[in-house]
Amino acid sequence: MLSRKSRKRIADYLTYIVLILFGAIVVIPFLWMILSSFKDAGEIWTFPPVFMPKKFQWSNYRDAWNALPFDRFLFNSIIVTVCVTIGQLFTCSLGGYAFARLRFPGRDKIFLLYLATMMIPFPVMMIPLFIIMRTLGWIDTLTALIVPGLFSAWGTFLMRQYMLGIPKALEDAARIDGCSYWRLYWNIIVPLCKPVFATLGIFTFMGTWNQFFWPLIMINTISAKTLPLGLVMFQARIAAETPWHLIMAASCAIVLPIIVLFIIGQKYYVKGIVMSGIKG
Amino acid sequence: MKIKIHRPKYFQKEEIAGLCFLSPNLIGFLIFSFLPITASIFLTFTEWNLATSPRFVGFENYVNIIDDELFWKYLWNTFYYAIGTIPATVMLSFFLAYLLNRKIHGIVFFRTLFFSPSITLLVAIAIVWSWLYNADFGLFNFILGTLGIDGPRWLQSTTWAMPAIIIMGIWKGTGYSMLIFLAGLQNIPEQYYEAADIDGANWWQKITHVTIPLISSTTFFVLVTTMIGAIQGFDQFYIMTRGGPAGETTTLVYYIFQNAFEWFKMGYAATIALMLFAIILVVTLFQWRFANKWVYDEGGS
Amino acid sequence: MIRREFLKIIGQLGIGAYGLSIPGCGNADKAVQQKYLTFEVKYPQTEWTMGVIDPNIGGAFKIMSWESAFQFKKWNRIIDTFFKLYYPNIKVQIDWGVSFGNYNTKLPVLLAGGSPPDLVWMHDTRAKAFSSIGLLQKLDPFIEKFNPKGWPEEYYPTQIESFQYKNYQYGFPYDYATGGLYVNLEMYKDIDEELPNENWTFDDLLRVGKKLTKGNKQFGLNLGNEANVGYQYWIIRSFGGDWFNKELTESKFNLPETIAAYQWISDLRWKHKVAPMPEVTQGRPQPFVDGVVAIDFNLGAPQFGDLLEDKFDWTIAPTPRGESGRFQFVGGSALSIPQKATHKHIAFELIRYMLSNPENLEIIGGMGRMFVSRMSMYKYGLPKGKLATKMSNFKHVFYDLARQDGVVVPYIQKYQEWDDICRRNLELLYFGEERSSKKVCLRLHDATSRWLEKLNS
Repeated sequence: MLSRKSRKRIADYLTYIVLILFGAIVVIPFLWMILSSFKDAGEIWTFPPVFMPKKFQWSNYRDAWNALPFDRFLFNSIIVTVCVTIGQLFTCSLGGYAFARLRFPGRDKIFLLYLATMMIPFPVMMIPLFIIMRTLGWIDTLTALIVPGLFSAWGTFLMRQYMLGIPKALEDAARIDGCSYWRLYWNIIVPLCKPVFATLGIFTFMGTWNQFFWPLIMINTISAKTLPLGLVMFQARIAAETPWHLIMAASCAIVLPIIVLFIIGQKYYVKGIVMSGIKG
Repeated sequence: MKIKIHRPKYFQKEEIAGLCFLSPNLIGFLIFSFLPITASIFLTFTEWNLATSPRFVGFENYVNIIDDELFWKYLWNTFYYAIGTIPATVMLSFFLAYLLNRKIHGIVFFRTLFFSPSITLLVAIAIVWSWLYNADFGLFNFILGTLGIDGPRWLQSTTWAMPAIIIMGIWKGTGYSMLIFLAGLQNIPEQYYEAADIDGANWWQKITHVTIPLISSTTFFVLVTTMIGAIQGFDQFYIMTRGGPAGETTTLVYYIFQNAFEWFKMGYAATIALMLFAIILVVTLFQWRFANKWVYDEGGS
Repeated sequence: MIRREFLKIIGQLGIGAYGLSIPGCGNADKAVQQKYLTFEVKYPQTEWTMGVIDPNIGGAFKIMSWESAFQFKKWNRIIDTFFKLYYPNIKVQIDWGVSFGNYNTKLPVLLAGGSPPDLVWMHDTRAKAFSSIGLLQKLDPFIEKFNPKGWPEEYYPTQIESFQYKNYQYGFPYDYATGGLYVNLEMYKDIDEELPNENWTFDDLLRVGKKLTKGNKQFGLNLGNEANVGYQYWIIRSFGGDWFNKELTESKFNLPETIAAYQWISDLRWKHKVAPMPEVTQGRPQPFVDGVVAIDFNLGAPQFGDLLEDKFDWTIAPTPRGESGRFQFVGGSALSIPQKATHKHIAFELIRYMLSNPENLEIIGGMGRMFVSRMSMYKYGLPKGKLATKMSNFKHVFYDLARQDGVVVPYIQKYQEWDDICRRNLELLYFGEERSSKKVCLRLHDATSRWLEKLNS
């Protein structure tokens, strides 16, 4: 009978093997995208396809940056994404907590309504939403990109499900001690929600940063465009004229903040609740 | 002994708190989700070509759907895709999340690796996967060739195009769900595992009796959102195959998009969307009812 | 309980009010337009303005275009000059770089949402779709009053026709594209044949294609694929077939000539094996540039030559003639004014300035992307330098023959919807799952006939 330690080591090796195998399959397109950002214009569509560029052209990044006002696009993207992410973390956790733990009339029915709205495909909502924006006078402004994004059914759903999993014993103990709902939420629930905050934060950031279709319809002037809109300005009507090497370089640069955020966010994936502090 | 709690007519503190907590969320929901959706429901009773005012046509759109062979064909395609991707994605992402939850070196590296499909540009994904699926020099047919099998035409074959996109869909969707499962796994207190160890449980028993029940609310989330995502899939079909060949990879959302923005039949598009919504709602309600049985709610609702 | 009832009532009122507002917004705009379309000359006229609009007018002038970053720089200069000279107080807002695919989605949303641009780019594939539902302004009153130079003699008839609907003009043509054959001379010199010319038959071309094919490494003849069914319309006409009848009320897919034409196209790939298989062209937009195809049908534009550069020795040749005559593919783009635009007069003056002014045409023509729509301006679209020697017959192949034999693809009123039906049927043929064009064409004939019935009922 193998010892505890060596069993764990075998399990670890097996884990490594599986992870490396799967990881290799999973990461190939991502690698190709990064390598392509260094290629020459003609190398991207060659046949047979090449993985490694003949020469690493770092100038692609510089050329892409200079071709369009990316500094403006970056600024707009940052403002929209940061506002939306913080806003969503706030409203979704409040809402999620309300749905998970607080009782009020119609709670479950309203929640089902939330779920229901997630099931309507966006193209159908787009024109009525456009008309609402026009009535509010927000067309061509960043406000139109920020405000609808401050709330999310998906995010609320995620928060609710996660909070359902938090042991009620903690809350009960606090309530007995006479804690108000706000204190309960802010001082007890929120710290326990670090992993889901990190998850929602990453997804919201990524979703808003990469959001294309809604800004496409809303924004008409170049000074208000976000990064994805700027990226697509490289595309010419004829595929042959499109500077793919610049598009690849710009895309990789755009993806970078997300990777950074993801790596930072990993810190918050901490193992959960230590119950030792709470006695019966 | 059951103590009857007397609830006064005015709202209790908890109910007020609940509504307050929910209010910022709810206001946004009402204006930016509920309102457009009700407008869309209006549209289903009209014919609107985006140029002139909507024309009231009663239930004509609904009647037309029944006769529309494309609607039913695309409904089938949508289900085909959903059934192909959902179980596989959920199981695979749970499996990976479980592995990535262990204490091994380089965990951040591996997690980033598995998250990379979600942050890769769709254009790049489409290019690389088109190569993989190429009947001539693609990797898949090459591997099949070494096994002595004549690989199919994949994206240019009416039978194999959808399975091809399903495989790609699983590959792409796993990263998201994996991350959510990871968050849920973090939520399980160590104490439960330690208690199981004391009871002499092996790793399989630990998974089935501790892990799976305790992340059941997360699993419900992953199931519902993967389902909604699969049924609403559009981008991958548009970019990989344009809904072809011969309409075999067109899903309902693609059809909605075509009706609304290419053929200027907004009323009909809204009707299809409503049908789609009804179907998803029924499935979700079913899952919800069913979930009350297997989702382990720590607090009890 | 009471609160819930209260909320319900508010909700219903709100929804009701909202629902009523959608039809409402259309009527208000119509009233504004009818009042607006007058041509009273109240201000001094200049070379490029008609004096109908106050030169000191303010406000925003919105333009939307699919031209990309690099193409638009030259348009920018021209537009800036116009406004600086004639309407200095107007703020110009240009939304360019909306890539072509997204352009056709965004435009209807803007038009439906009541916030249209004043000047838009329009493609021939969508012109009839947009104009038939009244999204575009008829240009005839403007043309009549403002008299653009060279209209209509200087413009290619196919271009003018492409942007007409029910005999009204809805777009002012600004560029056009036509198709020709690109020939890989290095592969060609191996066989003992003359270069194709416009009097060759399809059989001649096939014969040469067979000689040029070497298994899977080199394909002799590529005449287009399933991606764009319009690019092969000229072949159908050359065989004597057609898609519809003249009035666009009947399907002609059951004609033996149409069936024969599609069979010929399919046989290139599956019977004679001179055209590359789908897997060869998949993910590879320019097989000719990669040296996989010896003779390739492509849109003629000097920029294609840029791609080829010195890769190998090549030249251009005209497409062949069929038993029913010679037909050449032409397509193009135009500038249009949305029906609900605010500054229609200024928009037309700008169009006239951009496209009638020979100075500007030099600049645009020199961009060399597609060909300018003015016949006398062809020399600004000719290739320069090395490309000029490679394509010494450029004018003949792409200008003269296009003017002579150009055929407009029948972009029927609801073309996108029909294109979907057409594609769904023809793809089986292109991908080789059906080898008999008769089966496919008859199926398409049924589907088209049913669709046309619904359309015309």
